[in-house]
Amino acid sequence: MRVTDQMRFNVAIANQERVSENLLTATKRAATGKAVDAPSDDPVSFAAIGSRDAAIQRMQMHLSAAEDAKGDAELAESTLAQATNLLARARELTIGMASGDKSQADRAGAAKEVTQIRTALMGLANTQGARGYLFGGTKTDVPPINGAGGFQGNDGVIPVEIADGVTIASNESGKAFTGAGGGRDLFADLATLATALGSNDVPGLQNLLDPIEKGQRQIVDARAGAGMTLERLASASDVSGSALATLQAARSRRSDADLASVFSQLTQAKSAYDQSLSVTKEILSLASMARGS
Amino acid sequence: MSIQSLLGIAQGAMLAQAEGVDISGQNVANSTTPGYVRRSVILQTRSDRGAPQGGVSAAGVARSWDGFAHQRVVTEGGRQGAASARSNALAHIESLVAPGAGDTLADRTSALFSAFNTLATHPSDSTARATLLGRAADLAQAVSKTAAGLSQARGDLAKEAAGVAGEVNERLGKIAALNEKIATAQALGDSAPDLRDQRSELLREVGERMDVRAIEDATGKLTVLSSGSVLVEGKNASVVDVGLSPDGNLAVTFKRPNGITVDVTKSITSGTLGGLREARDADIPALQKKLDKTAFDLATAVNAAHASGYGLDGQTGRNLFVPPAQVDGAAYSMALDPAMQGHPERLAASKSAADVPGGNDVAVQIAQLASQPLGGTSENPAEAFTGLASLAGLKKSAADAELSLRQSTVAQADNLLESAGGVSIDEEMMNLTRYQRAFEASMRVVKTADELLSSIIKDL
Repeated sequence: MRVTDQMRFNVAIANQERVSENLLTATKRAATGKAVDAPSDDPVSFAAIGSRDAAIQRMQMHLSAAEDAKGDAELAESTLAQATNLLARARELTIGMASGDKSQADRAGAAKEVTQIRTALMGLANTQGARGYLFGGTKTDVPPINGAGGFQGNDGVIPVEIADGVTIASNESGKAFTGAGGGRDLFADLATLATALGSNDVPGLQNLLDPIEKGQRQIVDARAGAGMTLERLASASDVSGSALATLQAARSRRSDADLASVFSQLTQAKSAYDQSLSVTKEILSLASMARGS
Repeated sequence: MSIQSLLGIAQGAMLAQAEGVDISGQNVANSTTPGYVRRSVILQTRSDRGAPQGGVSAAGVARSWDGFAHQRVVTEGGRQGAASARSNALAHIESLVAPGAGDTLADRTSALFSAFNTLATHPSDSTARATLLGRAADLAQAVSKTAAGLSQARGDLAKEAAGVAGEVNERLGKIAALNEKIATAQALGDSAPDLRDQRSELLREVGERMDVRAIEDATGKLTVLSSGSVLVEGKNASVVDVGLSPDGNLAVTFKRPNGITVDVTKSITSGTLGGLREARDADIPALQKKLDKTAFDLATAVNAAHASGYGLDGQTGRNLFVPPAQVDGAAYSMALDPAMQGHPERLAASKSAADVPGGNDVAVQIAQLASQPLGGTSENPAEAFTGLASLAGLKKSAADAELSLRQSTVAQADNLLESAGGVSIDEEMMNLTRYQRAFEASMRVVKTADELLSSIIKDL
């Protein structure tokens, strides 16, 4: 084949352009640490990275929801634990004061304590968490128990999504305190207890032993439910956290450039660039020699 | 043979070698001129009876033209032009649908669903509500801006295509004018190599812009054909016109000198015009269709769930986004429903008025859309938007691969043409030396003849 100067220049220019482009790509990868910068770099990997990004976002969503709900569930569980203790004391007083060896004065003192227990229990039932009143169902803006001990919340469930398509109830109903829809009304029972103690009504006290015990069990059951919710939320949070780490690692493997390989490519590209420059110089010097002769 | 004839032979030889030096000089001077084809002097033994026999004369100038190689350059140049135009157009489109990390439509979609998740956790929180409304407006605006950008890109490409048609027309007119000059020169016995160089270069430039073929007739006129129609015939050139068809696509027509208009749109696949047409009327509409479908499905799904819920004011039946009337144009028209603007309390999180303000079923339901396939596809909303960016990347990547291939084939074709007709400085230097030596030798012959004549005169 007949070779002209223009052909040599064309080859030199084409080579120089190619190695310059390779050097730019290698430099960009080394500078950003990313294997895929634009969709056209690797459309399949880009789609996979995008899909992982969306999954990571959802996992963070689940984690955040579980963590937020966990705070209120912990508060509900500890509140119910305090309520259990208060009711245990009320039961203890009922049993103690139902025996014949207690004086009227003892029972009058106990009546005052039971009234205080009832007030404290009302305060616990009206505890507020991050989302409002804990035991009002979805009526989170109104105290679930009014001054008379009546329930003004509802039995609404507040679900939390802990995984794609999986939700769990994150709240405990205030009905555990009032027995609305079946069960003991603790505030009514405590009021009756205080009245019986104040009026030195021993048979009445004996009749209240069973209702007070049932009421206490009602709160214990609610506490167990809150504990179970807390456990599930904690477990969901752990699982989401672990899955999130796995997803982030998988994303990193796909999107991040392997630094050792990138710097090796950068060195090779730089070397190729230098060699190409030398070749171009050589071609130019050949042309000069031809003119000189 | 006489001494006089020896002098004639030497004189003829000196003229012929000087012509050789002149041609080599032309070649060297034009070694970097685009389209220049090297010449060589045709030397032949002088045999005309009226002149001294056995001498040499310059019978003409040969142009080292390879028509096959030139047609390959034109054809491959057209394919490279198409790939280059498509790649450039798609580079802009790719940056539109896949901006930097954190700003993509997929990121904004995830941010919206994340905000719904926060609302589910804190249904009555005013900050969570205001944030959600902001995210929804942000997503709608980004989708609409992307749709507007794609539409704008189609408009810009139409203008660019019209500009390319103008460049083609300018060159076609010049080719037609050169046809006339070359035919005139050829009739007078001049092969007009300079004019042919210019015409070949113009044809190559037209070929970069659209698919053309050329046939030269015996008179030296070039007939240029494209898409089965004649673009240039003799001194007449058609006018290439680029407009828009009723469906909004490019319409390419040739207006013949006789007034007939030919629609060649579907045949325009090569050259810059072909590349622009593919990017504008095939690649971008495919992306617009996917964007519209995703925007329609997303807005419809979110609206359906949102309208079933209740805001803090106890009202229901509100859409979050302006309900799209149809798939076409859904992305461009995507916007926050005017009734929601500035009213975060109207965001519906509860499934009933009785559940307000703590009820979060609807907020959870909308947040769950993040993981659900959208509109009968297998992609969730964020994946659908990522798929859009990936589709743009796939098209850009294919265009880049095609461009790389065409650059290689154009380089091969260029080399083939250059090998046949390019100027080699080395070769010309040797030719110059050769002609110079022959010229010097002819001078020596003159000197010898002169000495012989002197001897004869002296002896007489």
